[in-house]
Amino acid sequence: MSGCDLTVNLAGIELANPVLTASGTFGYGRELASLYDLKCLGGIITKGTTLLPKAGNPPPRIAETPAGMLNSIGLENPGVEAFLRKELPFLRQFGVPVIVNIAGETVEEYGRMASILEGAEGVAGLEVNVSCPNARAGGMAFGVNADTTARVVEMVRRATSLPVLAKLTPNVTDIVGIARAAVEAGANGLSLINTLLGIAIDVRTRRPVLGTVKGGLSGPAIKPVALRAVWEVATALDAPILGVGGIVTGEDAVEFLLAGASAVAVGSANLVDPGAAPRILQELREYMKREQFGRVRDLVGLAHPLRVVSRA
Amino acid sequence: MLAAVAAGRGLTRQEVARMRTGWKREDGVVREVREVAAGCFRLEVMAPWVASRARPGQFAMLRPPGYTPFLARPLSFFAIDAEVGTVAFLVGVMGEGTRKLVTLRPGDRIGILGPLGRGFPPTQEVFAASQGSQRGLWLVAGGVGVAPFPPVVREARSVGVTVRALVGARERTRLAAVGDLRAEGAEVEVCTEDVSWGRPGQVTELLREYLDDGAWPGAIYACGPAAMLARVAELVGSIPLYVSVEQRMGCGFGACRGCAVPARKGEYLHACQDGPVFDAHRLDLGALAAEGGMRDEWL
Repeated sequence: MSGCDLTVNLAGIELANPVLTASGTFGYGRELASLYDLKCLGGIITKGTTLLPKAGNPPPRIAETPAGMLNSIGLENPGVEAFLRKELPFLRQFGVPVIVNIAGETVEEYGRMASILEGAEGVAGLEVNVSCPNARAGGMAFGVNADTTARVVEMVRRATSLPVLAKLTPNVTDIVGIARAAVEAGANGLSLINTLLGIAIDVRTRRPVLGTVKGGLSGPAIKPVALRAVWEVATALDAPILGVGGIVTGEDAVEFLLAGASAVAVGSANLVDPGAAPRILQELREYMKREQFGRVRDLVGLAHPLRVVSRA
Repeated sequence: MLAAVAAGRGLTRQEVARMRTGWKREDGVVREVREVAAGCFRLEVMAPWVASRARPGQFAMLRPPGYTPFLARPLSFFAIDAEVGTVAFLVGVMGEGTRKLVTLRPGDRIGILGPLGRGFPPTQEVFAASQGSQRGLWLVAGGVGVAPFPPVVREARSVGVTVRALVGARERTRLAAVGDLRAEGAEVEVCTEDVSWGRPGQVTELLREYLDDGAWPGAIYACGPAAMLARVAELVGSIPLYVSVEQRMGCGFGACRGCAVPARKGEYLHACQDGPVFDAHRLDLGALAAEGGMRDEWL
């Protein structure tokens, strides 16, 4: 579409457009590659990948909730070696920035993951998962306070020169403080947010639905919480933000840009509408055309007071 | 590697990827919604792309419009008519999602994601191993678990395999698809737990009686609650057994890793990609049954 500049720079990564697919909802791209050309995406964020393969949590791993869902997948993934050998070569062929989401059980593991991925052809950046509520030993613990978040980010920072996004959990008292610590420890940007912690109970069996009882809440229901996190962090810090949480339409994406995100990631929407990401991108284009914005980056942070905007 | 295969065959990577999975989201048009048993509806949809590819035992993800309920529902293909371009589903109304699906009207649009999963193996393959299709195929169905079987019967009959279907339900009014199975050429025996029709009791007891008679089939397929599947597996011994399982699903097409089912060696397989039809030996059906089963509110 002429006259519509969708390019953005997210934490040092040049993107053709601001719509990426979020970690955990897209696998490593194989399933959806048969539906549409992944080349149309702004970027792909892989499934959370760990040093060693993980089988994941005991089922049930999914529960439905109003306008959303709980997941307790447990980071099922083939491990970083298999990722490099089998999945990355597949993803690379689409010419779209691939950001690898990494998760570890110890601070050292994050560092090792970063070293292993440093220099891997086709990896455009890392998204550091300090906030996954499903990892049994450590994931949740890291992301709930500034110190442990900083230690993880520091370890990653030392091991790689790749752009690093810290993906933060909203299940905290002060997300701005944690964001600040992540940036000071060397994160180039922030992914806001990961899932909320929730439970569902089956009234017929009178037991929790999920095998692990608690799970991560995602979907449209969490959008207001995600927007609030983006708003607060954008108000306090200059660091680039990737907005994630309940985006199902182009206008949802616009809300996140206006709140201060430079780009957005589409997650749960992929599960219920596999063509969601390209559709959302198209709806974003239509909004820009309708509202007469020539460059998508001019939307970033526009909803904040005291922003001076020149519409080129 | 996909790229290498594509280059070697002169195909685009898109084409190679599609050959691998063979599913898509088709805009279906509702043709009929008809109650066929108590709380059980036959939902027929015009969806020619899906109809031309669907295999017995596969499923589709159907999603009523809106965001509550959020997830799509997996439904087995109850009827597949590639010539006319329609597929049908047997929808047992159990919760919000299924309730919304059966309030659709002819002419309404509904997105169909499919065909998904691994269906039942082609009958010829199954019977090649078991020395002779004379021994026949038995089906064991519990409640709405009867849904995948009419296309199975049609395919088996088309290669001359006899089919005996044992269909169980809690009560007579809940028995569905008996006529459909007979129309496809199966010999059907029913049982109801409340003794309202057919043989009294559970379908697994009926199965045991037939097995005790000694004239064993070449293979058995079962579909129903996990506890039923576990019991069937105990009863059949060395007779080849394929089961179609249910598990709470997220996407239905393999991206989210939500639908894990416990496998034999303490690992997990996934109902949407490795199943929903499995060689029963690969699964730990006892563990699957212990999860508590698929309860109403999820569907």
